[in-house]
Amino acid sequence: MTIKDREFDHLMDKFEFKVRDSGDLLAWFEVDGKIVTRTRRSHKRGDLPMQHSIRQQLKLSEEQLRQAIDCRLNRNDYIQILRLKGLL
Amino acid sequence: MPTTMQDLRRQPINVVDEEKGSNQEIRDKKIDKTEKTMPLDAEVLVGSLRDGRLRVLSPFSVRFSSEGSSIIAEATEFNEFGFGENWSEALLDLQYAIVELYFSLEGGQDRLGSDLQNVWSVLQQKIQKIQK
Repeated sequence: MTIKDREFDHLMDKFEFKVRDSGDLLAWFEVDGKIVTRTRRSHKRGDLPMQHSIRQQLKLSEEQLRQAIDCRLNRNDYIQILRLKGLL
Repeated sequence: MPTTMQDLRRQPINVVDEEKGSNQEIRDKKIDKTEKTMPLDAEVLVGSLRDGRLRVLSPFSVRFSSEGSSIIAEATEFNEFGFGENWSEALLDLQYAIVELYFSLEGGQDRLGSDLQNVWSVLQQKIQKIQK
């Protein structure tokens, strides 16, 4: 499974990741000033391989990532997932 | 110097001091050898980030695999990955990603959550910033 770059960008936008362009797009998720997760997107191509690696960095299950891409998870849902995993 | 793929697989791709710079060709040759012969799901030890600001103190493990037409390089110790059209490109992408990760986490080290604190801790064990 691949993630399209626009899906990735939409996800970062929806979850309100902070981003920085350093050649690649670096993204990190903050809650109350604490950096909880991070990931990045290469500018190389349209489709991003390594869905499982991106998912691991985001701390999401495959189903949760699918829901997030399908706009069925919002920032608060994501925070709740991270909280349940003991990351917050 | 390793002579077979089996030797190469468990050898650091670069154990030389990257500051000296004169071993670039040797390093590239080793990677080219990897590119031609690396089987899927191969694992190697990498001893350089190709960045003069950082020195690798202890080689880190990189696992290669393929996905579609992409080659993927993963450093599971750092939960980081790179990809490209061939082994060399994937490794370069990973090395670049680890450098970015190092400086990103260093810059925010007072605000890291538990998971990223663990990653930062491993990075500090394996990688040292070169003081100038």
